[in-house]
Amino acid sequence: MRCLKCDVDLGENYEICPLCASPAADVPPVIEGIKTSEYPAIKALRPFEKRYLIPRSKTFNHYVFLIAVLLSLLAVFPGMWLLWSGYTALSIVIPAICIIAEVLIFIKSLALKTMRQNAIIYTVPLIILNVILTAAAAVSQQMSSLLSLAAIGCGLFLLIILGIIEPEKFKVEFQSRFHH
Amino acid sequence: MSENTGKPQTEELSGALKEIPKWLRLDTAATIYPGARKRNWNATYRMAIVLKEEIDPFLLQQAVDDIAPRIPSYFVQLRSGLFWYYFEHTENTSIVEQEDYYPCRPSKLFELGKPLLRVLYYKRRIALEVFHSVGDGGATFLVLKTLAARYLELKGYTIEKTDEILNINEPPRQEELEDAFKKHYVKMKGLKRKEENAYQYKKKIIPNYLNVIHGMIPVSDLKACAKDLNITITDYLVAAFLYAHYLNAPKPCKKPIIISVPVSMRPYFGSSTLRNFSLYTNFGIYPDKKENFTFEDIISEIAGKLKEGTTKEVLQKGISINVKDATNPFVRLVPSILKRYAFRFIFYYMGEAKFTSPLTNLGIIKVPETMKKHMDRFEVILGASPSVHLTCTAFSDGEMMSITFSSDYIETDVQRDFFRFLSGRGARVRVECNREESWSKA
Repeated sequence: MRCLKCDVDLGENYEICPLCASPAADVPPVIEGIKTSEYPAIKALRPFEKRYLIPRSKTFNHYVFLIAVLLSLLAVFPGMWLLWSGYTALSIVIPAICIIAEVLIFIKSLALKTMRQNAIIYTVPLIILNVILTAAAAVSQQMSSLLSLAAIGCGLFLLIILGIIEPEKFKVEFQSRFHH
Repeated sequence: MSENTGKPQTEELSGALKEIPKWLRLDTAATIYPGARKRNWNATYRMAIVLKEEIDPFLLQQAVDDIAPRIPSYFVQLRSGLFWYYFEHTENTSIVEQEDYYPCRPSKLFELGKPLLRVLYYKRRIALEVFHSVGDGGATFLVLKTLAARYLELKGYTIEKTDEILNINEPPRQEELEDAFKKHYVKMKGLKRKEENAYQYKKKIIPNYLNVIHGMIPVSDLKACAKDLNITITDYLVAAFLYAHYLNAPKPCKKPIIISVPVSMRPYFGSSTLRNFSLYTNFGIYPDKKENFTFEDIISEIAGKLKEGTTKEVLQKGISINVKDATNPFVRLVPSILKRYAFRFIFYYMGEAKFTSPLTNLGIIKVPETMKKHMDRFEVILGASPSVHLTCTAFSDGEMMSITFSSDYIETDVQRDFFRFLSGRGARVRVECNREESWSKA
């Protein structure tokens, strides 16, 4: 087949020229010996894939971390007006949630080997958050640093244990996540 | 890794790797692509081979399994670090799928355990679709040829071991995983990026769509055309592409029409890395300089520019600018979540805004003679990006030049004028496409 308007050869079964949409003429091609490479017929355009807030892999730690963040927000904002003051939220509620999250991560990572790598990376932000809270408590007299220090301790303990039981993973995870 | 950070990720001995690295830094050129991604787009391109027989998916999966240990830098997943994205090695080789949609669908970047490449098959075609951070066209072509050679071996054919394909019985080599930009970095002073914005070819975008047009032209015909004007085939193709854009640009066109030509730096610096090692040279015409541009005017405007832009000194400068920016202490310490937006800005406003379309010429693709008789041709599709909607690739097998346009527009006016121009100059042209309405299912 050929397009006489564009003066080009077309594939064997072509009815329309892809360049100008003119009907293809049933005349022998100028270049011989080329076979058409076919593509699948696509009936309709597909929508783009959905976005998920939570990764679709059912990683326990993702949920633990997400719940901890959501509860922390809840503790600071609505809870501040309804149940406790902002200082109580920052000194007690948030560090307590972090400790619970760390304990859950610890249990899960002991039970499941595959969780250990993620456990490392989810513990670090919890420690950093509590370091900030401890620093805030050092400045503010209305805040207590007791529970945030405990959360730091729990987090460090978890990291040490993970470092002992999975030294290679621990090293790789730290090197890769924090390389600069 | 060659970039010495004081933390060796692999054995630093030359030659064979002793251990597959568990993680890899992104190479200098690769760092931009994760940041530039959008919800519906990321830099995924396709390289394909069309064989003479229909593809057997089971043998194809076996071939992927067999070559995977040889190319560890391709079996990686993207992960986010505090300062930079990085690759984590994955053992998952279940990446073979039947092709059922348009080429160059966005890669699933953060899907756990999934490598950043997929292998698609349809009738006689094996297609490799790769996220650009993993490697550039030069490296991916080598991987595709290796995959096809292994597939043919599994079919029972003997394929000779030559330099054109990777030997899967050998371990991967250290230099294949190196960041060649850093290896060849030379400190230079007074380097600046200064280019003006180029004309952008705009039509109505069709989301999640790719219009592919393959053109095949005998090299001898193009050679004759180029010889008449005393220029190279690449210069001739760039001029024809500029001319087709010029014919379709609104008049007056205040911005320059610029074609970006990627240059593989492997031959210039003697690198055999399987990661990114290419730079771009941009050149074109200023349509407002003259009332009516002829093809010959374009030739005189761009003559020698490609040669000038691809000297070792110019490329060395390009390496130095890129590495200097990437190793800036301030940039290194910015968290990746912020870097992402900075890189997105750089990609769109300092990169893609500076050219109208890219034209990638991969040169002559060589394959072992024993493989040649089982295959028809290669195909390379660059895909379209959110700001550059028409792209072009070219390469030859020595006899036939293959030119492929891909676009997320229905309109094919630039492609039409390009091929009509070439056929008008005496070149024999064959055109195929991926649009169902063009062919009958006889």
